[in-house]
Amino acid sequence: MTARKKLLIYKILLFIFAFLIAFMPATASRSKEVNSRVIVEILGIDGSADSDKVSVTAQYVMPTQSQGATSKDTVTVEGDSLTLAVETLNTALGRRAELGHCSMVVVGSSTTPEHLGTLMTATDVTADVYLSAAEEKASDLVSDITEFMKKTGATDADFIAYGAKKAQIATNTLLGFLSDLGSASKSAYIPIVTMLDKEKGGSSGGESGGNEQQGEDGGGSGEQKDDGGGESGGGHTGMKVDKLALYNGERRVGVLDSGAARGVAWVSAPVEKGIVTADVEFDGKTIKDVSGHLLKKRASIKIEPQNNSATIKIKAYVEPNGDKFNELGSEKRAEISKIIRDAYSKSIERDVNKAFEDALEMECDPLFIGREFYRYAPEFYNNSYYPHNITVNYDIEVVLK
Amino acid sequence: MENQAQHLNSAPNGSAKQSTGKQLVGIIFMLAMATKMFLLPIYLLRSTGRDAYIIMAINGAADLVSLVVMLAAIKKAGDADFFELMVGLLGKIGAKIAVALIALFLFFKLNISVGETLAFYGTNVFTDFNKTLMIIVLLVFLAAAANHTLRSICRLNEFFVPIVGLCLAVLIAIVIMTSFDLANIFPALQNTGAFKHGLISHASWLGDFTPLILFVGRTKMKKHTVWFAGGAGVIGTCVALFFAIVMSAAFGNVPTLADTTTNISNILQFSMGNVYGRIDMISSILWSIAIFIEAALFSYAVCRCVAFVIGKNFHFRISLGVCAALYIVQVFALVDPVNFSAVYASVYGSAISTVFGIAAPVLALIGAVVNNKRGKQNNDDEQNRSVGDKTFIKEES
Repeated sequence: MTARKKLLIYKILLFIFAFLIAFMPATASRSKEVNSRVIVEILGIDGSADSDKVSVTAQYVMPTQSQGATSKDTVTVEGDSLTLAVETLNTALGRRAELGHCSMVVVGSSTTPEHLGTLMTATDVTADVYLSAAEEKASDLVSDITEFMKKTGATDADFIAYGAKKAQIATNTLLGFLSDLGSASKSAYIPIVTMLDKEKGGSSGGESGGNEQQGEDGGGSGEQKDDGGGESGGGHTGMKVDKLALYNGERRVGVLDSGAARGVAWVSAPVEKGIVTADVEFDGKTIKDVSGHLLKKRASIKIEPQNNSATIKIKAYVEPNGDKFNELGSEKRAEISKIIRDAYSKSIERDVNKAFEDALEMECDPLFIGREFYRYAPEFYNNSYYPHNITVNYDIEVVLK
Repeated sequence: MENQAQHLNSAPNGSAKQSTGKQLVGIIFMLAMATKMFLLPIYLLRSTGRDAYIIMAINGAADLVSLVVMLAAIKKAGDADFFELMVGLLGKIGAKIAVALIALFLFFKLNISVGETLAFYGTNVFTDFNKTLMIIVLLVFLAAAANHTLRSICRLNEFFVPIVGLCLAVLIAIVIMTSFDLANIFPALQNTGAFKHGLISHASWLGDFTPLILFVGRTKMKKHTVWFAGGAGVIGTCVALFFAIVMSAAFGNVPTLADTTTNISNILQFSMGNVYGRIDMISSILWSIAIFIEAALFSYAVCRCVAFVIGKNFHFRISLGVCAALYIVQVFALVDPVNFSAVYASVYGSAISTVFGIAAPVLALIGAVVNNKRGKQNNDDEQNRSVGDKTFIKEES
């Protein structure tokens, strides 16, 4: 057979194949596929080890006939297992639910880590999806977030992703959570999202961006507020992310308050930005809430098995905010800088220590001290490690910029 | 006989040298990492946990040793190709048996790269992936590659090497920039039983450099080509090892959660979330081109070996036969991932790969050395004969 003939045969075969691919029933009907799918943005899971039922709530976006238009809503389904519940989503929506674009999974108070493991391995939800926890039911929180997003016009639920780098919030991804839980520390955390209603949060207007950072002392909580110009009948005025749900083994064991949650963020989360605040005493008077912007931080844990101790080392680069800093006067800059550095160091140490102490009471280790012992002293970890016997020291260095 | 061997290896439009030294370097870079970055880290993770990267390092080192032997054979062979060397070393029948066995091994390896490519696209890229149909697209490519020359595969590879290199740089940059917790690979060797089992049952991925037998006597070697080729092998192995370390760190605590949907792209997002979009995804897909090149080279090598064994240069028909066999194995025998891992992630599969991974380059090197000695002896004999003739002529005169 000549080369020309062979080439001709190839061309004919390729043409037939291309024709088949292009006009096969599945391909020819593909134009309907866009309208036959819904994109799930947030997924809420409620289920417990005791109950046979798992409830899944999805915030979805449905493409509509008009070009570029979408509608956002929620649907809740129930199944005997998580995979069945997810499968039921398709039936309930009458379309195929695309979970690959899900940007956040909301975990109910009774949801077990096993459910999350199934979610990762048996569904299209990706390993990198962010987790957030509801104080009670995930379905309620997903509905509230959806209503709030509709009201503010927010298009996606990226506030947790934002918090991962830009705010003092310890966030976690699905794989990160399961990996932490499977580590020697057997502990993991998820930030709790709470909605603010009018009585609690107020409907303070005047914030130009409609988005500000707030906290007990300005350091750790992220709060989104609406700008006061929304619907007067809306139930919620904002949301707050300043607490952490702690997991130990198979269930949620407790909640860390905002101070302790900040402590976890200092040590365990890849936070790059945030606010540091401290009360500073100078010349016999106390200046409250002297704040600074965190520019960069480095955290590490140094273990000393021979002394049964671990040292948490943090180096934070902070840029003080002008107003309170200037209030302290400009004559003794060096002295003031040292006082502020010490105050910030103490503030950070207080948060981290609170995180350690509070978590220890819940038999949790969100700072992953146990994991460090296992990594670098496995013999000691296997034979002599007991969290309550470990002395934790702090080496906090603040550099003012 | 040698002429026949030369003819059978030549493929359509063959000429003595089908590859430049630069092209050989590019091919080695691709072969060093292609299949080692798909399902192997996942299988290793599931069987040995966080020590997966150590087995990958050992396998990589073993492959590098076989690469060194293969490069020595290429360097020493001169103009004689692998088939000529085999005929010279083992005789006609012995050479055919040896090449037939090597062809079976190459087909065994071809199934790994094809199976993994389909798994990658079936589980990560497309939601509805009809394997029985989509494999035809791949088979058309493999048949086309087998019908062309080694030179055309090398040229194709030359075009993709910079793209793959760039994508790998992007993926590595993401890992470094997002302060990935690589320390999670510690502590090492806590479960030595699982480690030993993982080591002896995952050697099927050895022997990635076996198709280089086709480059014996067919490559224009320059002064430093061997060093550059070795360097490319080391770099490719290091890249594969680096990603195995990333996978081990990400799944070290939860190895049972790793499955065929797990890929390097997901893992990179693990450390940084969706903040920067899916820059990693496009990089991963482009990087996966490496495995297409490897599959094409294995397919080409199988066809050349079959052509030598049957003594006919029916490239078109042979490639169709190989593709049909590949289709049957992939669609009917290995369709279930459990079957795939039972065959490949097993002690028997590992034993086969270890034997051939060592045998092919060693045979090539011995063949080259023997061929050189014979060549030298023939030259000496010829010189002696000519000297003798001259003396005889002198005496006569």
